[in-house]
Amino acid sequence: MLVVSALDHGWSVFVVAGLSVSSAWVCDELLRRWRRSSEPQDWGAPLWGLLLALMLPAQAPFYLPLLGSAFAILIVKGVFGGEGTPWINPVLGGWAFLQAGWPSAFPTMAVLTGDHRTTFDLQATDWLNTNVFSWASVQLPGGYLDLFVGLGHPATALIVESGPLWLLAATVYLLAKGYFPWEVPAFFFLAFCLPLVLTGGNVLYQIFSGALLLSLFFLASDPSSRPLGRAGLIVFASGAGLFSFLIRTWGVGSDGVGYAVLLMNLFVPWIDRRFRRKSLNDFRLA
Amino acid sequence: MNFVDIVFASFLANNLLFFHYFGLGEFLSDPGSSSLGRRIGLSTLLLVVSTLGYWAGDHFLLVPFHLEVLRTMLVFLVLAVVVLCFSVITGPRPESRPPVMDFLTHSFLVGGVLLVGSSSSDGLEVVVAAVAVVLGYGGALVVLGAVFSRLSRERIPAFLQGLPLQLLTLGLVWLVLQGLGMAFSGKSS
Repeated sequence: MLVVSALDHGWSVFVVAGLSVSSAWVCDELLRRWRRSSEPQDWGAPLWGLLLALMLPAQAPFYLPLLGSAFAILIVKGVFGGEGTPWINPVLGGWAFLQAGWPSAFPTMAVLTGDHRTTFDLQATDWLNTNVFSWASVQLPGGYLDLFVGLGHPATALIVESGPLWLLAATVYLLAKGYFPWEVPAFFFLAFCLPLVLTGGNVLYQIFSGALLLSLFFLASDPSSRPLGRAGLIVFASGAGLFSFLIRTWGVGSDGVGYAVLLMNLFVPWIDRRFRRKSLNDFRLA
Repeated sequence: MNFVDIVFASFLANNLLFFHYFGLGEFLSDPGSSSLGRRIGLSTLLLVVSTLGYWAGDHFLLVPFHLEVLRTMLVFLVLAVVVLCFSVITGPRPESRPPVMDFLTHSFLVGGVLLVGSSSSDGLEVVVAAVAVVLGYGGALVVLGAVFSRLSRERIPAFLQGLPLQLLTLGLVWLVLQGLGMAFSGKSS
């Protein structure tokens, strides 16, 4: 995804990602030394740094990844007890901090037009319409293949917008390996798409633009900030999907899908309390 | 009238009002308080009736006679009348009577009535906004209660325990609500 984005926007993409990952790693190391932790450092913090970088504009100023990662690790993770304890997603916490502090640095949602299509989109759409979609008497409009593969975005686009295809490929692998529960993406997707279809929205465009896929598969599924039980996961994912739809439909400005997950993160302790499966100890105490 | 805009503005963005006016005491109190439902219901009723009373007084008395300087006085007057009526209706049982002095002295109601009541010139919109504000407030109470309950089980550094942790938690909640307000309004407040 970084390579595709770099092809579009230049090497600044790697600088943004490098700064974000290294800032997260350094802050995590500082935190561990300060807490005198004996546990070996894992890849959690650098991974959070990378995810945060994906949610930043490709040509973000150097201080955004540095500050965002530092806020995510030192404040959202460190203050609330360290590994596995943050009650909101640290990546989204850092992203919200940057959104609040530097809102103009984030681009508005790109409008899908056929004006700046790449040669790939022109030729591939033409081939698909002639050889595949003509059988069903439908036509694929221009621009969607660019959106799917992640090409032809403006310079201010988010890095994550350069790779829906690669994000989906990674997601299939992680789902097959069982790294995150299927309930979260499934119900998130359903709660987002169903009202979108009912209101006549452009489903393909909404799914493949902005940070929706990243939020859906990776950020909402973060183990420390998602509910524990299956019922809780369904409530959590449905709420995040529904709020994503509301933000995308009535919201203005930059893509605010991350706020939908953050809002549901706030409800996770309540959801866990309300929907968790009772353990043997609960029955004993009762 | 755009009720969707009103509900979202009041539920999410203007709910910051409570952090400013209501003070932190309510949020920092025991999260397991049993009277939460009653407190929220009472707040809803009081805020809706008081806001309507204030809006009517403002709209039909103060503005036509150019007496806008008396708005704060009008809020206190309306609140006093509403709470007095409420006390009479609920009867002599002390447990069912609202803590009158608490509500009167609570700047939450004063601030809420002032802000919501003056937000629109339409009575119905004012009522919708008042209900949305209190729903947001109730949601904030539920969320913060559960969050503090969870945090009490985490390994929080000793020097952060207590008030610093609660303030940091409120700060993060504020960050999310502020961001949502920005997502809907398109500008920072």
